[in-house]
Amino acid sequence: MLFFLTDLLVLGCINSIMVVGLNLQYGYSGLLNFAFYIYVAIGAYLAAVTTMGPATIPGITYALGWTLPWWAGLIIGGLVAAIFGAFVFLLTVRRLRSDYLAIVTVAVAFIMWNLIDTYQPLFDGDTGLFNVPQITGNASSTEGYSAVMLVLSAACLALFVWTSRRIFRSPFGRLLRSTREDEEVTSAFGRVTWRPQIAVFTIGSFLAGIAGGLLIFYISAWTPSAFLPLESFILLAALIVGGSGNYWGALLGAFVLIEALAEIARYVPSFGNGANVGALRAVVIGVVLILMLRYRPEGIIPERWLKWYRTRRPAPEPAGASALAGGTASDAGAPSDAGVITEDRLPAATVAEVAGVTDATAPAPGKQADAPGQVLVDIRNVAYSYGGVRAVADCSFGISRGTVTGLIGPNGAGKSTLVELLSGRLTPQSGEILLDGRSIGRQRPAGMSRLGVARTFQTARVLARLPVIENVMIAAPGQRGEGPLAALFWQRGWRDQEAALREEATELLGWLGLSSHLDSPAGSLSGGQRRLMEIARALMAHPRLLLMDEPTAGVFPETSRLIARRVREIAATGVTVLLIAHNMAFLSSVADDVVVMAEGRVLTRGPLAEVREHKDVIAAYLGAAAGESRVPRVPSAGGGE
Amino acid sequence: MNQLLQAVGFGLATASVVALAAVAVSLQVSVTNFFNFAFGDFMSLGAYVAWTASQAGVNFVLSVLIGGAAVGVLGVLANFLVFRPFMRRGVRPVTLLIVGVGLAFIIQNALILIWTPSPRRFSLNLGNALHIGPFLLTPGDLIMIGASAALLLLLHLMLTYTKFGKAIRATSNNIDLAQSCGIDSDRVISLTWFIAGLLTALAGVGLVLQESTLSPTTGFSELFIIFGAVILGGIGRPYGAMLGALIVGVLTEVAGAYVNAAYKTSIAFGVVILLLLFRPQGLIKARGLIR
Repeated sequence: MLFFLTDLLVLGCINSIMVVGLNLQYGYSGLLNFAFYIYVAIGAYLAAVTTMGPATIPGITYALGWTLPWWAGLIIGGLVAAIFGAFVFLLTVRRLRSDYLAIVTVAVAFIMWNLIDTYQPLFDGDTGLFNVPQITGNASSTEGYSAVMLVLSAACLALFVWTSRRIFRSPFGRLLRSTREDEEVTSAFGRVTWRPQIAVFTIGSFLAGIAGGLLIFYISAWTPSAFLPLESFILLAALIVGGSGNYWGALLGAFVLIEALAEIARYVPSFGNGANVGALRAVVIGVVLILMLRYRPEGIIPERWLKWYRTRRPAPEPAGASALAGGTASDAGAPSDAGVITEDRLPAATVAEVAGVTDATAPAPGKQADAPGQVLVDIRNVAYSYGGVRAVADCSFGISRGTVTGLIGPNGAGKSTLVELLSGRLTPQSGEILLDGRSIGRQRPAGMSRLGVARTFQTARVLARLPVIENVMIAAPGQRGEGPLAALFWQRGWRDQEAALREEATELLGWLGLSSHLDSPAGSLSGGQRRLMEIARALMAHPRLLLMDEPTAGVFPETSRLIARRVREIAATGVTVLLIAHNMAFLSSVADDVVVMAEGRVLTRGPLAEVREHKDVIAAYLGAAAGESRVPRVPSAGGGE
Repeated sequence: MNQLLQAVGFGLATASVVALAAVAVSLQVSVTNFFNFAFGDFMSLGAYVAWTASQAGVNFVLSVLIGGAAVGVLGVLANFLVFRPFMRRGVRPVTLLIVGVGLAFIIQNALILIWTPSPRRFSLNLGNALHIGPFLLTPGDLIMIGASAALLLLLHLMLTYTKFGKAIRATSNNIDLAQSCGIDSDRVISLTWFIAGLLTALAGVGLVLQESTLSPTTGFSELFIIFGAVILGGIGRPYGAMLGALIVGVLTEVAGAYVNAAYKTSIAFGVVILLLLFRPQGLIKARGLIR
């Protein structure tokens, strides 16, 4: 009975290590590896052939035979699996669309399986390896050995759960989650998304290799029929049923779905063919998986259930913001306490940062003393075409520091394309863009972000499953602990920074009236709240230039007025703002200056009131003939949307 | 040289089977935009149903059609009961891949429960292999190549000239727009699943006849060859899938002839992966549409 229990626990711990490793890949970072078990097999084979003696029995051939101590074999197995994982990732993910990864992982695994199964000199082909030495040197009884292995595998599991917990809480973990939710947003805030991904893919493969080594030391034999595609699938099912993205779900899934089901299967009387019980188990797992994905896709323990997610200290809310929070929270509903927006300031921390008192890593906004009037952005003869459609044609204008410039024009005028060019998502096909007198060249979004350009998106983009506060924290530039090594081994380096970032994000969100939503998943925010959150996120990046693509589209007028006030206050701290808007009331309250575009060119620019009376503008909006025949009214200032 | 040409001949026979399945996968991907990992097991199921029918004394052609119809219906059911609820909720494509794998294992193990895991013999004895020019092909191969070409031609005519074919193309191009133009996209998707299931089952029978044996994993082990052909041809482009199938089929057999038959599938995978590294969009540039 006792042996039954220890045996169960050893296998449970080893399977848990595998699921924890898979969780790092799929749960934390959304990388779907359908062939996880091949990395387990690599670890197992390597651990075996490095610890076994040279092959002596005729007819049995395998490589190496180094007679190393067990721990060396275990580590070599883990490392080789990790290197193989990194190689597969480099082969595929950097070049291919990410949903191909699943297919390519299976294809690569098939090649490996085929090679191991067929090529005898490697691991004795389809016969497999037997009599792998026990870590105690073949001396102990079965019961004693399973107790030793329980201690070892439980220790390894504890170490890896600690590792994944540390990763989860670190800036590295946040970066992974953010990449999983939306790569484009993540790179728009200066991150190179494949680097954290390859790191975590490699760590996950390492865990697989270690689990494989432990398994082969325990069961002492391994054949190619031990790592069929079904095994990988069961691990994935265990992870999803348990709850991906957090460390407890992985453990729960491994014990409930793999161990408990295997035990239950033992008591199912075998009927008909001998393979039936196993097949029935696989059918049950498949059905459970699909039903879970359908009715509870987050698994038994959802990611956001982790207590750690909650912001512990209730944020000190500025008087005005708390009154306002009620208003914006229900911005789709009744126009609540409308007029009570107080003149609360941009949070002190942010003001300090924006004014130039930044740490060295931030792109030091205002170091050059952003005197109004000086040109920050200079767009020179820029052109861009989509296929044959000329969206921006020979467009030139400059934007002065610390001003709010509105960009208006009829649909198809090239406004959004221009914003994409400034954000680095598109590269000008001719002409150039100067930032601070220097050409931005062919910078990608991540590069532009590092130059101090932050943006909001035309349709607000949120990292739906992450809490609002993390959505904002992700944008802070130059975070320590975003690499795997710093995250794991240098917590001192980022613990205080995390507290500071959390505080800054809390203040920013409070300032924008989102205090009561800090811990809600961003996907649950209303349209207007998403716009506000995007502004907080952009400010968290401490930008010099803030690009806003229709910040008030589809927003309740009350929220729209709040956004207008905030934009003015942001500009007052020296940040330069370029915003696209169609709402004239909003524009008249924020913009110093308006640039009118039509058919990819700048039609005119100047204060809104002047521009509105301009003949060409009226013609562009209403068509050439309309200028004379009808009452020439551009949407009036009182109109709104 | 002779050996090479013979291998190419075998490759043509392999390609004719792969092409049917690849076109089916491609057609389904073009309207629903995800890879269904259960297609391999659809192939196995079609072959099992056809085998059972022919064991029961049903005429061979008729039993193949029964297998095809059964899998076609399964495709429609899989869409209705399994995939559509997920697509309605707008889940990430990765989730649909996992659901497909779940379905694949359910079907594969159901096959074990119904037909036991032991391989079955399923072959047609139509006489010895014939020398046709440089090629050495059995009458079965010739029939398969002919049937495959005829079916693909039929599909081409249907996509180009019938109202339903145009509806499929419209749906794959822009489902929302197609809906607002009065196309019942649910019906189009259901019918696409039916056609895809039908073609897949026929491919399954062809595969089994070439290998002469049938086991619950027959189809699944062929799945990634088919995906390779689809990806090579440009995802969601049935005509590209035909070209991809030709390349993958010939490649497999030529590699088998020159290296080691045990590695032929691996080599085909390796080449597909390498090709993808240099042309991630497929050989014909995929626009996610049928042109």
